Amino acid sequence: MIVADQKPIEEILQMLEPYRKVLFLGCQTCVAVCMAGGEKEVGLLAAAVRLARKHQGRPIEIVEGAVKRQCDDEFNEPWAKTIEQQEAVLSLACGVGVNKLSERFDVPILPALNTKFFGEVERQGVWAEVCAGCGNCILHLTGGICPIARCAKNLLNGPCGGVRADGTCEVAQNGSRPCAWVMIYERLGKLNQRQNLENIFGAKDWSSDRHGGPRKRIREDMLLEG
Amino acid sequence: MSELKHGAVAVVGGGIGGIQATLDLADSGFYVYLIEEGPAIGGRMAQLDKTFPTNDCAMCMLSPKLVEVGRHPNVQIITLASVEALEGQPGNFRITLRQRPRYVDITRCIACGRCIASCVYQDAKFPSEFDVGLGKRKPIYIPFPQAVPLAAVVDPQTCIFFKSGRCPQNCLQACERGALDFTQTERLFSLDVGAVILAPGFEPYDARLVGEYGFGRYANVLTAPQFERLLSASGPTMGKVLRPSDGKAPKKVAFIHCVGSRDLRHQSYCSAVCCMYATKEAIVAKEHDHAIEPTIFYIDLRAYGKGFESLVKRAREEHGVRYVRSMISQIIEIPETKNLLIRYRDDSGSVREEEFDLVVLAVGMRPSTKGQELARKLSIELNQHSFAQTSVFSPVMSTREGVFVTGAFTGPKDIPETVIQASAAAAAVAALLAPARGTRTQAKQYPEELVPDGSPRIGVFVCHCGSNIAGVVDVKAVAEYAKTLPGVVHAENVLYTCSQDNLKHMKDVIREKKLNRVVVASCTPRNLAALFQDTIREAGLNKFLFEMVNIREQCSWVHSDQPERATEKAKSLVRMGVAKARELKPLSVQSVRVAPAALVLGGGLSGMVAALTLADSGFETHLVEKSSELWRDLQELVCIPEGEDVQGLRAKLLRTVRTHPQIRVHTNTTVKEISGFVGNFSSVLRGPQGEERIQHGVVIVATEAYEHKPNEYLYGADARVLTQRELGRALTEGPRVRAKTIVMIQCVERNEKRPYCSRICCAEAIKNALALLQQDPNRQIYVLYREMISYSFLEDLYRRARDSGVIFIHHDEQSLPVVRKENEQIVVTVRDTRLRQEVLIKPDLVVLSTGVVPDPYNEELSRLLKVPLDAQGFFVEAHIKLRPVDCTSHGIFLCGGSHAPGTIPELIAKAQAAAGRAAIILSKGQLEAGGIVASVDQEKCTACLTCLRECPFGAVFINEQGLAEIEAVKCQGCGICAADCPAKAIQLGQFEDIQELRMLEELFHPERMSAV
Repeated sequence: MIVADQKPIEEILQMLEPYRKVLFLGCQTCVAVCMAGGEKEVGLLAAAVRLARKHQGRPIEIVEGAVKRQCDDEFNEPWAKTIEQQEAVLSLACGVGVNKLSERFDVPILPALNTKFFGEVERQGVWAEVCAGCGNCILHLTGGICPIARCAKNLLNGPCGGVRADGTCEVAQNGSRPCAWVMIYERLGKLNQRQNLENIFGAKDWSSDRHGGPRKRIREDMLLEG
Repeated sequence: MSELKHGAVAVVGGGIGGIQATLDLADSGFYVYLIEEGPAIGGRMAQLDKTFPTNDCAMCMLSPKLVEVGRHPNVQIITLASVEALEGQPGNFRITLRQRPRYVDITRCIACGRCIASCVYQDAKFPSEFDVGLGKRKPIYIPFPQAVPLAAVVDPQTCIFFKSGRCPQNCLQACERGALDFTQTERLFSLDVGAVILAPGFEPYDARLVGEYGFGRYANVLTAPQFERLLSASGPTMGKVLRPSDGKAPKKVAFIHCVGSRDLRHQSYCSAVCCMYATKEAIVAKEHDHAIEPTIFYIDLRAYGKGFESLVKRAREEHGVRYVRSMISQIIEIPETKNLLIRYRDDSGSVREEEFDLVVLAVGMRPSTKGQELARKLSIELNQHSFAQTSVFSPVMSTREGVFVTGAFTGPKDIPETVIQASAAAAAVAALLAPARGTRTQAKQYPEELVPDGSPRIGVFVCHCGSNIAGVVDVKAVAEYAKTLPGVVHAENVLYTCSQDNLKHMKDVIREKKLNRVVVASCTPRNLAALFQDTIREAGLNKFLFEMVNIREQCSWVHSDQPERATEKAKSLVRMGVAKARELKPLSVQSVRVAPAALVLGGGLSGMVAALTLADSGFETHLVEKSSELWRDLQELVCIPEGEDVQGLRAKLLRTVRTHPQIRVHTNTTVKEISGFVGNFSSVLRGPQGEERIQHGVVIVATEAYEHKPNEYLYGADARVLTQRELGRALTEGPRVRAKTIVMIQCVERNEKRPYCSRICCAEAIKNALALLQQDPNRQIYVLYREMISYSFLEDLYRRARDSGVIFIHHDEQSLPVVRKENEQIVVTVRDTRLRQEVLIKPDLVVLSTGVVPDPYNEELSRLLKVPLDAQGFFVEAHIKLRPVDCTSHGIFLCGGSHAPGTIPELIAKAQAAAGRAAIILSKGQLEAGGIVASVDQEKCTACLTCLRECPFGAVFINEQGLAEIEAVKCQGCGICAADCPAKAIQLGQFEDIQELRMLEELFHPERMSAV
């Protein structure tokens, strides 16, 4: 799931400064699940902005809404009329949703969130990055633990000198993050696959990652013609 | 014995024990007379500020129970009454009561307080019983704000009219309800009942008798019950800790333990609760006033119950409570300052003197005088300490058949133990009177519900509450205003909305004007909402089409000095209530059939007792045991009390269980799967004959706890090192123990990982030591301990061991004993804190008290049942004080070591209690589901699992569409999921967003709404 954070209210207020009629549009998929931009957050944020603007003596008219998935035009379409009547839209979706709405509508689409990473739910209220989407998966060799996402240096062949005696990474404050390679070592031990470590990875080809520019995936057999 | 059995029960004593027994019985088809000596129920618990070990507010827990008893259709509360005689036999008793006059008709009194205000005594000048003498009351008074029945009472001892006959009796004129009646006289009457439960409770020890502490002479020496009132927000100082002598805030506060307890001049036994309540009071005092520095002087710190250890840890580490192990022999008052001088021995052994601003005496529990009188009148026997005589195997049975005893009447105990015994006694009564179940209770019949069609037609009833509201608020204006609100088709002001004639009037208006919503603007919904809901239901409306507005507590009472503004506020509140009423929806309540069978998991002592209790109540019971035998190894299980024939008990239990027509025993069987919910569980048992599916309405978890096997002290490496159980077995079954010098080590491997007290090991060590001495009085026995946990009557056993020459050596938690071998000789060294020296012993035998650990099978059961375990692997109860054998998930109950370690009588009571609680559900036949429950909008749900993770009742599940759904039967309407759903997909009936938002909009923007 895509994990995002709500921007500080000051920044949001600054973005909304020029507008008096705005739609706050949430997304009910990833950002609802990570408690950043679902319908509940829309309600809370709208109430806060209304109060702040009223306090400034510049009231704002806010329409509240949420769609199933902002990254699909079909879900956004029922809102088309409403959107066209606004001076701006504050999207509480991830950056994908903001882009998608911007492609479709000639109204400024403002991001309410900072989109961060795709992650797992460690426990309620805690999300962690465990996959970096580099486009070239080696998890079968590393016991299901990704060194690209979980090692600060994306190291492929064992830990660096920055691993502490207790197995934590020097980059994270107060030992809050375990060294990915210590985890991989332990895990491979459990799986009886330590021999995997003898396999030396060559230099990583980063072209499948973001470094090759924006990526696109096409599945020819699923394309709709006409 | 006559075949006729009465379906009614007399419960004597309206404290928490009596209340619990009453509710259990009334909920399971029996009519209950709750007989209370005083003017209100509630007992000692009502006087407490907080309760250990969670420091929850006592009144907040108790008050809902008081209200529940007060309005239960199958309960009659008889106050100011005592029992005179009991004739007849079990099932068919006639109980004779003497009821003193209250001089107030409780059916008329509305507790407005006008009589009290008008009393010729302008100031309250008589010591208030509720405030333990610290506060004052008048001759006419309301016992306490949450009292049930909530009505005034006249004390003829202090009332001038009764004392001199010359009184203008202002109160008579002041009462607008004509509730006062000075012609009332004492009356004697009899009731037919099938059984009697005695719960007269205890009295705090009279601290004046412990003369050396100066209570009654020194102003700043208080008893703990008094200090409790000082801490209470409803107490005489409204929760401020102030010294009686000068009203100043004390800084140094000393708590002295064992006042009147563990003292041969007073009471030889341990009062079992003082250690913990003193710790609680010290913490709470500190929370109220951070400047307070509490010091606790104690002998042994007996933190033996669930969660007690961690409370003491918090007190020490987080709150800075100072603990000093020293008996205090005298308190000296300094005349100038009224400060108190205490002399004590500190850790280094030197004697110190220290001045304190306030001293709190942790007084013990003594048997109540009324309990002793009760015992005499009912011909039941008392034990040597004048508590009710019970037997180890029948902890709630008195010596007279059909008369049960519970709570502190059977010995000192805390609230959860009292509640457990109360439920156990209720269960025993329910089993005894099973054939008469339902013969004295009646289910109310209601007309068919009308479907609210079309737009809202709201009726508003604005209550005068005599002059209580109308004296301040212009109720006529409020009613007129209500008429102008959208949706309102009827509004009127009523003198007393709750009176019988006006309730009838309300029903007539509903029919005449075709009302489909009702708003009552009167007092707090706590007392009367259910009455009004019932009334509109009688008129054919869904009971959820009702809204109550509190214009008494929230308007007239708090704004009596600003009548106009109070009226304006009342209008606003009514406007909000009407706004919500417009949005109200009927909520449906469905009946769900209950499968009348029980599943008991664990065939040990607890499981067998639970199964028998249920079966005797007439319910089919499946008793499932994973091993090949029921109660296979009684030595392994529990500490066996001295001199009791446990083998005999086991044989008898086995025989009865095996032959009981309602019990099916499944040995060598485990549970593969449990699905469903309260009333309708479906389980698959896997046994020697393959798999079998059973349907049942309840589950009782009755796994036991076992002796921990240690890794230290040469255990397993040297045959001369045994555990207490192993020694116990050797003592009863042989071979004869040959050792001359024996060392017992307590709290073995009790550490951060296993921090709790196992409750039974000290008693077991003492019992084994005495048995060893009985075989050979020349033996030398040393017991090395941290705290001796010989609570309640076990203290007598501890004293006997000391008198018989057993040497008890105290050591610090930090300096544990060391056991080593020197040329085949075992050598034990320990640092004796009293001698402040190392002691060396060369024993022939070392016996380890290792504590008990829960059955590892609990983990699997926890997963199957979806109910949580605590960090130590014991099951977590729904509420540590008042629901000790219930799980938060309805229909699942706990007993045995699965919940916490305990002695045999404690385990038996807990098993009976769990069975009794379970039987309440089974006896109903039908359960109601629905009403105020949450539901998920499947269109909006994103299956984020927030609700699933948060629900404390396990009511949320993921359905076949992969979306969240809520099981209405399990939902308790707490609203957590509705509040937290990130997709706003969950709404709670009666508290929907739209309903709440409309109220707020009406409050802040009435102009906007009226335009709608």
